[in-house]
Amino acid sequence: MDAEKTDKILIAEDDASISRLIAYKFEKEDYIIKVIEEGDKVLAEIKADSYDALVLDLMLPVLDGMQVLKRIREAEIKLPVLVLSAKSQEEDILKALNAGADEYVTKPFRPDELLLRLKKMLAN
Amino acid sequence: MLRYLYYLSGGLILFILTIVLIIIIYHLLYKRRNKIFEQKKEKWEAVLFQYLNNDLSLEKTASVMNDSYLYLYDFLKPYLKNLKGDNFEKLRQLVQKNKMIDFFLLKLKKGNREEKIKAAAFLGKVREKRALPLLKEYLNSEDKSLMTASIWAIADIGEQELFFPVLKTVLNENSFTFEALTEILIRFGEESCYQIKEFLEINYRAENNLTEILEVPEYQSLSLFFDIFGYFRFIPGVEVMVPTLEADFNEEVLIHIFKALVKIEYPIDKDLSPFLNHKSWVVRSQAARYLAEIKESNYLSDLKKLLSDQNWWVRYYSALAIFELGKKDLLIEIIKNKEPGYEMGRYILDQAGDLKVGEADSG
Repeated sequence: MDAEKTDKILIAEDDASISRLIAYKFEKEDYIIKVIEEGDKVLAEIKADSYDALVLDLMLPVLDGMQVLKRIREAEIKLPVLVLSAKSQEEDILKALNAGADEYVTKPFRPDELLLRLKKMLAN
Repeated sequence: MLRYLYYLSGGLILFILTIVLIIIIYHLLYKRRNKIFEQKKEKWEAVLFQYLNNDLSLEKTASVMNDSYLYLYDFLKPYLKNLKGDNFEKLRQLVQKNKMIDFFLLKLKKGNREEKIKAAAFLGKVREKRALPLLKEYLNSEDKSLMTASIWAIADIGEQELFFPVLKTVLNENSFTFEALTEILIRFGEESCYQIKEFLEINYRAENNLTEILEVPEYQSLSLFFDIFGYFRFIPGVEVMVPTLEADFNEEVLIHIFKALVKIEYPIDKDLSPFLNHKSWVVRSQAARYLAEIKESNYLSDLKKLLSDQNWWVRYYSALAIFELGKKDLLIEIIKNKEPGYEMGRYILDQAGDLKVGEADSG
């Protein structure tokens, strides 16, 4: 079996319609998916279970995505993080990349592109 | 008297019971609507995902998603907002095929108030140009909600010909914040920058009167225009910003010019000393910030002086500019000699994680 196909992905996204669409797309590629809607639960979930990548929305309730990202990196967790956000200004993208994001995709987005970026990130 | 009280309490009880009954009915209707929506959503979602993934044809998808258009719009809203490219085009083809666009075009014309508002929002999201004549008409509607929905819809469609009519409407509406105004106008895309530039050039030649045309004070429209230039990093816009950059011009406009120049990162041929010594601390700080961005070293003595400015942000951007100019040694010298503003110098080097700070302190 292809090692890539058992990768487990955590999706932190508060819009259920969008997270279900992403999950559908990723599951079609045989990824194992878990969805979380609130930022404060992401770190605990990553520590509790082993994931291969995180797809992170920046506008999460309770604790925003930037804070989540900073806490992940402060805890020295080397999980690949793909930020998916409506914030499309160059400074927002640079801020997230400086805070430790590996990839950045802006909304509106193309699910095919998201999948490709995820694959590229996992391959690296 | 007793009888009067008896009737009064009876009436009051009846009134309360009626209110409770209305609340219960509304609650039940709401629950019923939600239940119907959830059932439809489940059915539609499975079909839509297959369609977007090219696993189901347009015809089959449209045959499943061809009823309850008002519910269907609520269902499609997050996808219309968050998807782009071929996925957005597929959504557009779907709402054309299932006659949803025709339905909402009719509602925009003949629906009740709520239906018109919903139709405007939907037709804007799917960028349906046939809606434009009516949307333009509703810009003058007495109904503020319909007018607002039409403004957003025209902006979503990005119709350049309606940029100035929308601009005039939003500038004269008190209900929009500056951020909302900018967001609306940004939706017209970078193309609108060329329209603004041309409009300002005509204005500078005194062939039109900006205040008369837009019916708002000049500083308001100029601030907004320059913000849009900054957002799109519109380099040709620098040409029309520079003539306005005079120290005695409106402070708000000057601040917006510098903020735009910082984003555009474009050097200008102009003496910036008057702005570094401006009476407004915001202008001083933004001018210093601009120098940090373009790495212009002709103002080093001004920047050094500003390290002891009374405002924190002016001191901060001045020290940052000195640092960005590659003059770390100058900052270290200031710290060593405890010259005015040395604390900010230390702060900037500390933020940059520069090891020489310790060296400077021990010196």
